[in-house]
Amino acid sequence: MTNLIRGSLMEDIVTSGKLYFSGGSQFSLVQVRLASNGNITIKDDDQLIDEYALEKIKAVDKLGSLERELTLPDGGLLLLNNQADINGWLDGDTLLNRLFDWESSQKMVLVSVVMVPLSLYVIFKFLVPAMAIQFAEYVPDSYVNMASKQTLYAMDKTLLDPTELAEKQQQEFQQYWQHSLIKLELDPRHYQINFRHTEKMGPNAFAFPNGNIIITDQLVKLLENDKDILQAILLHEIGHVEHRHSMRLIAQSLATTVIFSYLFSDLSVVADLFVGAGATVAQNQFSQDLEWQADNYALEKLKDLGGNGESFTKAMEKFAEIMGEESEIELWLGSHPSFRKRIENARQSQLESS
Amino acid sequence: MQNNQSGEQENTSPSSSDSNVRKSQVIFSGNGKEYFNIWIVNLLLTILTVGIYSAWAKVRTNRYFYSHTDLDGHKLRYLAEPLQILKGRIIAVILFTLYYFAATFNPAAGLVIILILFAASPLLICMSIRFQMRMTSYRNVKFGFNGRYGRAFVVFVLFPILTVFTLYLALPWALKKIDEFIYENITFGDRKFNTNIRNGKYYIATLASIGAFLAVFIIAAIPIALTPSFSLATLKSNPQAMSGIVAAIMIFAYVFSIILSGCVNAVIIRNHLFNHTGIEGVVRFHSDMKILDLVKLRLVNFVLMIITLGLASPWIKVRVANFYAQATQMEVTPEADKVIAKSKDGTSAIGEEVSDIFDIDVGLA
Repeated sequence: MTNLIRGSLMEDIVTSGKLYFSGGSQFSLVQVRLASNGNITIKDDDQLIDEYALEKIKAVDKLGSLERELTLPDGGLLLLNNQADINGWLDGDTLLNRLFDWESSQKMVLVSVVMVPLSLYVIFKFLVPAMAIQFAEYVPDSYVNMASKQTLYAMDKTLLDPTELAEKQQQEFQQYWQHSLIKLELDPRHYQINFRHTEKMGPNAFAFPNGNIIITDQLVKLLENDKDILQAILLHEIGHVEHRHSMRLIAQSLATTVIFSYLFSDLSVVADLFVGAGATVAQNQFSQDLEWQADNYALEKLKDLGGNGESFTKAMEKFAEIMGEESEIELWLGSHPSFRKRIENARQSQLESS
Repeated sequence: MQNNQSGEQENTSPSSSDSNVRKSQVIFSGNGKEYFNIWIVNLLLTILTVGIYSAWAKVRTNRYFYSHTDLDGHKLRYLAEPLQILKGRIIAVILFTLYYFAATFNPAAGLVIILILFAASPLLICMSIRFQMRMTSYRNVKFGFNGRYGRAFVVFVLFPILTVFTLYLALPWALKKIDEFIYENITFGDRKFNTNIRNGKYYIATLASIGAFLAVFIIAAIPIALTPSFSLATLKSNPQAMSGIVAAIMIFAYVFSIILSGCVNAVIIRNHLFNHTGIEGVVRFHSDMKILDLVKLRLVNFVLMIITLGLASPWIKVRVANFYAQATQMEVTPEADKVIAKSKDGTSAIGEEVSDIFDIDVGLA
């Protein structure tokens, strides 16, 4: 029974209500008449208390089976039963009220149960990454440079020490690398390598978004000076740089944080724990996607250099060796894909090129 | 204060000789299925409107829980308007985005912002509590909050920092000061809440929850030590299986110890706060929550969340509200009819929304 217009009615509705007077905590049980002329009259023991036109009162939105709350012009509050004819008289037919009706429609609830997980999947799998790619394009190089330099500065203060490699050894790497860059038509000035000694980070190589590459002495040692393998790793790292992955991660993690906090913030304390875990899983999934992209970039470039990706496979095998067996949980929730899968992917690429 | 001549607040009911005092049980009448429907539809609308509807969803959720809470025959009401919330949220998201970019592109600037935020957090907390109180009404009379920034800075920032120099021995005392600050400054119309909570209970609560936390690990260590397979031989021959069992026990112990110690602390403090807080001559509260009941509730909720992948969360929220209501009783005097509403200036949702997104949290019992 939905009225098209507020206050319209075939015949008057007479009902009881609870009136809280303006200005204090007093209340009274009252008789209420909702009239077909759009007026509301409130009586207490047949004594007229007030009469108002419907336009003058504010009916708080209908919600579930809760009593209807009417704010009166003098600041009083009138509670009425939540029933169809009263609701129709109070609300009429507006867009917002139709949305509120969805909450009690079995059909819309079912639609929501299906659509919510589906749309969350679409948002995190496609929309957020697409938005992040757009964002990454627009970040000015000066910002990228500033962020890179500050981060390296902070790491030099805390995690990294000056390299202990011999000057000659460094030179050899530099020359080999410069040569490869020129062959790949990449700017050698953009991708500078620097060596650092570290006890805390172990064998590692990483590229800052401005192209500056750091290789730890520990990695050089692990790879037993093998330039081919080191090159494969560096190509993976510059894959991150070429695709502006750092900027994409920044945008993706900001979007994930904001989305999670507004979709699930109204939940209880226990749920909060799961929201935090959910956001972490979503972000790690992004990160895995980016690792794949960097792997494939490296494999492609190795082919351009005339190789077949064997050096990349070896690099992954080295890492897999020192990392030991990975558990299923780690692989599913972690920020990097499993070495086993990455090795498979590299082998696949080797097969294709031979 | 006709019904409370003695002014004595503790452990005696407000002039129990007065037959006009009504005792009543707090009742929560919300329904898990009904709220699930509201929640899931609102979630879909929020997604479809790129978040804009989240302001309506928040208002509807709060209204659902407030208006289903019956205190002495009258319901609480949540008064915030969605547009107010939306405005607060837009400002909060802009501030958070600026902070986020500043912090990632220039860590030094991020540090400065965190310090500013730290100094501003008492202000945000005050704004947030004030908004929450003014958006709550009961019998058409609004609550309010009179806490001032200066005092808030002392209790939320200064005292906690100073406890470091006491090796955290003064931490329970600092926590009590925070609760005192919050509850002493809450008003209901022209009346003021008062509380006479005691340091002793805060120390007991802290010690008991630390004790519970340690006890779980000690008990968990027994089966690990007693397992026959736990020997150097098996550790050598089959380290994988061994570490699996130990890891499983430790994860379970970890989750359980967090839940247990959280419950011990929450129940002791909640009961103490409610039993010693009220409005003189108008209302007194009673809380008789049992630790084991809360542990059971939270454990079941935890399992429900996992097996339903979060879909049970609206149902859990209703279960929790119901549980808290059932543990609470109140004594009301006829003076409750004479509370006068005080008109106050408008208030904005900005403080609350900014606190929310930056995770500056203060729990109201």
